[in-house]
Amino acid sequence: MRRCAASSASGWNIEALVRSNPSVAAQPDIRVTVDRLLAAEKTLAGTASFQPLQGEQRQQRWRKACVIQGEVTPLDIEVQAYPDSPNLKFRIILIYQRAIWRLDYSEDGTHFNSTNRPNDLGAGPICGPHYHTWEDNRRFSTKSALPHTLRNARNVPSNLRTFENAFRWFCGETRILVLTAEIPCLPTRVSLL
Amino acid sequence: MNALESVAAALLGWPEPRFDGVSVVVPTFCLYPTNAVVNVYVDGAAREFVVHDRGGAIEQFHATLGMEPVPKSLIFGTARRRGVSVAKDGALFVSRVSADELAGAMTLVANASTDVAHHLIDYYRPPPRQVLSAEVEALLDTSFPSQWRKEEVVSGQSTKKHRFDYVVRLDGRQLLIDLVKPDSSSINAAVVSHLDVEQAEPNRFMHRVIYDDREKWPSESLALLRVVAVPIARSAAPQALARLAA
Repeated sequence: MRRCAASSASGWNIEALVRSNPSVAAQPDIRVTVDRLLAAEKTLAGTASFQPLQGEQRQQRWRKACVIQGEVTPLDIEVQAYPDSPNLKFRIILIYQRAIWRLDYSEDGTHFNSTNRPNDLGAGPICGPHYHTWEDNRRFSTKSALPHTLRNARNVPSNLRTFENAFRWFCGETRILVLTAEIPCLPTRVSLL
Repeated sequence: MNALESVAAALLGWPEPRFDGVSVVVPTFCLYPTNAVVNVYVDGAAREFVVHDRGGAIEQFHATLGMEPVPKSLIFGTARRRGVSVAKDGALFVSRVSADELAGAMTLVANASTDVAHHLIDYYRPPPRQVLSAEVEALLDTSFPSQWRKEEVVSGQSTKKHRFDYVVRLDGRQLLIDLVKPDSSSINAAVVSHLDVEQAEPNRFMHRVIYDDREKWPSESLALLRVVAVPIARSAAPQALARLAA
């Protein structure tokens, strides 16, 4: 599958949705595009496996493109694995040019929310696994630029204690339909220490 | 409760150092650009320690822009200014730290890690994963099937012949498209060729330049391009070309 052909976006259904709004068509608003990409039901394209980064087995990634009604979109889902970490540690990221939705699973991770945050969100510190939604961070986006970083986060539900559960949950939250066979297996430890 | 007691109580809520089976994990008061708390890790015995960030700075970059290779050369400068070393895997560290120096070394590594993460996220863009020309050609195939030619030559008012990346024949007009990179030679070449051709036959041509917005573009470069053509970001090219075809 040629990605460049897939991103011939006049064919994207989601782009057609964006263009159907006259005000948006006149001057595309990247926030609206992301809203619509997230709202659309998506599946995953092709096959993938974990690949070490620059031969570095301690950091591995798995990446697939999202498909909307048969058209490959520029939206990717990426899993980052750290098989040698002393505790379960991974990230699941939805990437549209840069991260727009992310789950950080790490016992060590501590996050502190921005002062510019939704009313129902505390400052933190948020200790342990947490997630950054587009909704909580859309406020940092402009019409032409995505948020520089995702500065607001929430604790993950307490029942997410395995990668498989977390992946299913993430896909559910971001409207990605995923089959059990499509859920990747995290790479196993590569060193003894 | 007075102010001092309130502050002390607030600090009690901050995560405490703990041992994770390999290192002592120390949550610091530094924040990464993502607002994640900077952890430093302390390895060693009672007399000599190594303090490091376990690659936290690079992880923040990966968390923001995807797991792409990061040239270590981008890390060295910032790390050196802070006086910390860079390991093969990109982790920042200070070695041979005595117990007396431990607090200072942890502060140093935490701040260096924050600086490096800021530097990477602000300034480094991974090379485009796809060739821009291939993407644009796929878009042209969709929007203008059999109407476009690659690398066609058009004469300018100066009689100089200019080669445009793509020329699309529309009813009575021609759409001239150039792909530009964020360097002065590419920008200047595009400006000169579009300007010269427009002056030869005003209003015969429509001028567009497509730039890759995954790369860092100074606003003045885009402003300069705007003098002679409509700049289109790669991410907006599908809509822009579809509108032209409509």
